[in-house]
Amino acid sequence: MAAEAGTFLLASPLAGGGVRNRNGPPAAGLGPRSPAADVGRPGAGRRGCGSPRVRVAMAVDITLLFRASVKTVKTRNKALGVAVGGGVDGSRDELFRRSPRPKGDFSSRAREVISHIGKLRDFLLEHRKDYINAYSHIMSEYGKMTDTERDQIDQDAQTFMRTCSEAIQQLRAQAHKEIHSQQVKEHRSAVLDFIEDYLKRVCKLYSEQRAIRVKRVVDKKRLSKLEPEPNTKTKESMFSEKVSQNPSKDSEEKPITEEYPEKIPAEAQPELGSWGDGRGEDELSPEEIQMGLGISSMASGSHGLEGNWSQNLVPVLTAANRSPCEAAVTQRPERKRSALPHALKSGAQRKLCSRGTLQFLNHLEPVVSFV
Amino acid sequence: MVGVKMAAAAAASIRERQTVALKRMLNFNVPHVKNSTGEPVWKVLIYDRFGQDIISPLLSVKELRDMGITLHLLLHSDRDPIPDVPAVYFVMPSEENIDRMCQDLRNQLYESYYLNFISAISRSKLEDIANAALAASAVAQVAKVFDQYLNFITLEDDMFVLCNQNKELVSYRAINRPDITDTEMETVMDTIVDSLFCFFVTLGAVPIIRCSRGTAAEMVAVKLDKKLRENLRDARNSLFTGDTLGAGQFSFQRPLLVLVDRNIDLATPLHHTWTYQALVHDVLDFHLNRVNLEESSGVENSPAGARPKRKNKKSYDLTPVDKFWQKHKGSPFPEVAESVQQELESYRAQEDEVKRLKSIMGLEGEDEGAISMLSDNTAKLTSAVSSLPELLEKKRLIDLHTNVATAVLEHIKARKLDVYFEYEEKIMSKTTLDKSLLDIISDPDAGTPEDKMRLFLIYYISAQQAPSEADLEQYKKALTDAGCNLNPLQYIKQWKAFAKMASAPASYGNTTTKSMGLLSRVMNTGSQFVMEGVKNLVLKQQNLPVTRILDNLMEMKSNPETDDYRYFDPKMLRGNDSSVPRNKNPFQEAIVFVVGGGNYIEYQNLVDYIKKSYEFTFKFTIHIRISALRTYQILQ
Repeated sequence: MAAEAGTFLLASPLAGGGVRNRNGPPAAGLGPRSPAADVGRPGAGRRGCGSPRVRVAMAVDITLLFRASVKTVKTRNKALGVAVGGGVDGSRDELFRRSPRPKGDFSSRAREVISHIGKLRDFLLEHRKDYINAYSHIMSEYGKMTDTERDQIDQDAQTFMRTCSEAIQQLRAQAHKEIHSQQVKEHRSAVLDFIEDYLKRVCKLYSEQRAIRVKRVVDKKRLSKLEPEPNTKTKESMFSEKVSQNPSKDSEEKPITEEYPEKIPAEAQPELGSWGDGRGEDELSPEEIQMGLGISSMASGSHGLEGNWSQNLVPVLTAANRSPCEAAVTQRPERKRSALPHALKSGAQRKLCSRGTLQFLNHLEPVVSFV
Repeated sequence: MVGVKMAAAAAASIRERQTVALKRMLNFNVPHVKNSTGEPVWKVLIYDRFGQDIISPLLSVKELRDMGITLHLLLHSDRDPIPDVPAVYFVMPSEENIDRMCQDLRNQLYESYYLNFISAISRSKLEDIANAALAASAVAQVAKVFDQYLNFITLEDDMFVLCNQNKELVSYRAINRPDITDTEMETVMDTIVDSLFCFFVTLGAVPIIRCSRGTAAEMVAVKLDKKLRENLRDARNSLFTGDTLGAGQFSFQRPLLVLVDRNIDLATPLHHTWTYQALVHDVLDFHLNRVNLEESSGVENSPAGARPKRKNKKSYDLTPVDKFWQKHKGSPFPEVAESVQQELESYRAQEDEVKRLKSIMGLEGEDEGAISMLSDNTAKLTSAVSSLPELLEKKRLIDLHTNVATAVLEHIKARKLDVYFEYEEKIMSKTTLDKSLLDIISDPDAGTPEDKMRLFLIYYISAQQAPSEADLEQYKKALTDAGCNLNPLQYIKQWKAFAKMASAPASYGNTTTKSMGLLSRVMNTGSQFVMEGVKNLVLKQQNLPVTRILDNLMEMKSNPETDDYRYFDPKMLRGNDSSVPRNKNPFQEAIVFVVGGGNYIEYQNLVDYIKKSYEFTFKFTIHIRISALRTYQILQ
């Protein structure tokens, strides 16, 4: 047995370790290779694995041996006159194989969602460098990104994430209909959990780069301030106490919303309505409003997802807490979720950038109709 | 020593290796690389009971989930078709399993099949599967077929057992019963050798084998040597090529395999235990690192004669992640009780700290003057909050061990196991006995009949001269009165007669147990562990026979006990019958295997031996095979 396995093992080049850099850091954005790609590469089993220092003895790949057995059996059956797979039996099996296909509806839709999320991931990764690039306003190379473009990316990403999240919810609702098998139900729930987890991970990409951008703007603002706000003290105390009292859940909402409203110009208030009053009086560019709103809408868009992002944002924002311009915090009991994203939409943000957002939006279309 | 560093860097424990191998298998036989933005890939896992036993000590359900497994099912269960999902099989290549797999193929249960056999499958069985695949037009769906060579169960970083499902097959009784036929013996030996072979394939090293002559261990050694040799000779297909060798890369790093037969020392398996892990195994229901407790609720208050209320069953996994367990599994029991108490106190202190900070936060809402303190407290609270998971885990472990230790303590008190332990230690070390054996046996309060029988057997085994007929009759009567079955005694008599002919009886060195009086700390703090009346015995242990043999062989010491041991080196061109070791250097890695079953006492003794002698110079791995500890039952 082992003897025969070896004949095939050494026939192919022992390329397992050399050709692909398995132990190196994975290229960003690449998922694991699909299983089909690795069939027939018996050398694959040889090399080491996850933990860099553990080199495990190989298990023996006898797939080729199996295929050889198949040939042997076929020949033998032919010689004995037994029908092998083709003919009447074959067509019946074909039929059998076709009938479960409709059930594959769930998996094909699941895979669609995954591929959409994958597109989002690729898009984010593709533009990540430019997005984060701090000196884009200085450099005048072709590859820089304007803030408007960034905002567009943000907005699109948020919409997209929300759409995906809704799609997952929908799938969940429908997954258990028409299915009577407990095992299949369990399987489908688990699959949906995996997809949701995938979405979370990709959203983390987004929130990380977003947080960096926000921090940069905040720091810039802070540096450009010349004098501290009045009533800073009391408001600051209430503010920071709120931060510490709600370290886990609310922080994603409150510090964010508390951070920015102070900068919202008085003229923007009627549109904001639900934001309350008592702002500071410095101007806020439309960008910053969008940013502030963007973050809360991001939080709102994630109603299906856990607050992993808050972990990323809180340290950034608590660092920013110490700036003197944190005033203007009032009680904000309700969560202003749905109103905001639709509130401020100036023409500037609508401008599409050429970066490929168009193509991205085109991809969005099928998703939207899919939902 | 130059060799040490390299060994330390290259050697991974057998548990790590087996876990990595499993994960690779679950990843469609491709090495597993973590990727934070990777697409989810899902699959179902199908295993038989053997596969289940191998996987369960190593991977938790959560870890299976992390690898993308949506469902894990037993092979021989009702399974519904789940379309569009790949299935990973991990089974033994037995007739029934192959039949069932063929059935699955015919029923088109899954989209693709990744077949993994725990030990190598024969050509003819492979053809059976090929046949079924052809008939079902499913050949293309069989994506991969692998021989995993994982036919052993790793329970600790440095301890493995052969199997759980058919342990009776390879137990002491199976090997030593008088009516065994040659073919049966062959089967048993083949099973053992197959597992050992898988073990060395996974370890990635070819050992040097030493065994005693004229025993079942020798049979195993001969077969294993032959199997390794055949595999190495076949250069094209050897499983031990340069790529895959782990610690064995450098030839002077080859491990030593010591094969001993259970018969060299029958007293230790019968011995009552005193260290935590050994006690849990001896006294509670403990298998594959899982302990099952039955907790009765409110029994104390029920009137005499009333049925106790429903018993809650609880089970706990004692894993390498459990820090308390790792630290204390080899400690004497009183120390364990004290440590649980300490952990509980430190936990309470931390909990109070968090509560205090919380209340500070609440109070200072209106007080502006305390702003300066805020940032300091915020930092503290943040760190307290972030350590919450740690704290919760600590609490979980404390609860777990409180329950387990309490259960153990109940047994100790009920059966007076401390008395047995102390007495047996004295017998085995030939110190003078302060109580008469007959007294203990006749005492109705002390121990179950099984305990008494164990005690007596140890006495009988260790005695230099057999007790006189009259004495023996007296003992027998006392034992029968206590409810014991005398069959084991019969067996031991014969064994002893035979053992006398073969070699000198094993000596246990000079062990003393010091009774340190009652633990004042445990008593005073009103702990749960009221160890009143339980002796606080501390072991000053010397090496057990198995440890001694290992010591001799590893250090190349000359000793009449081991000089006659056979020497096998599968890598040598020609095998020989000599006992002269070619390799003159002391070994750095050793595997100890007891044919007939080891036990936790010996395991602990070996672990202690390593710690004692080789604190800073070597990295050791020692493996001992354990089958049923209840050798007593096997003797019956």
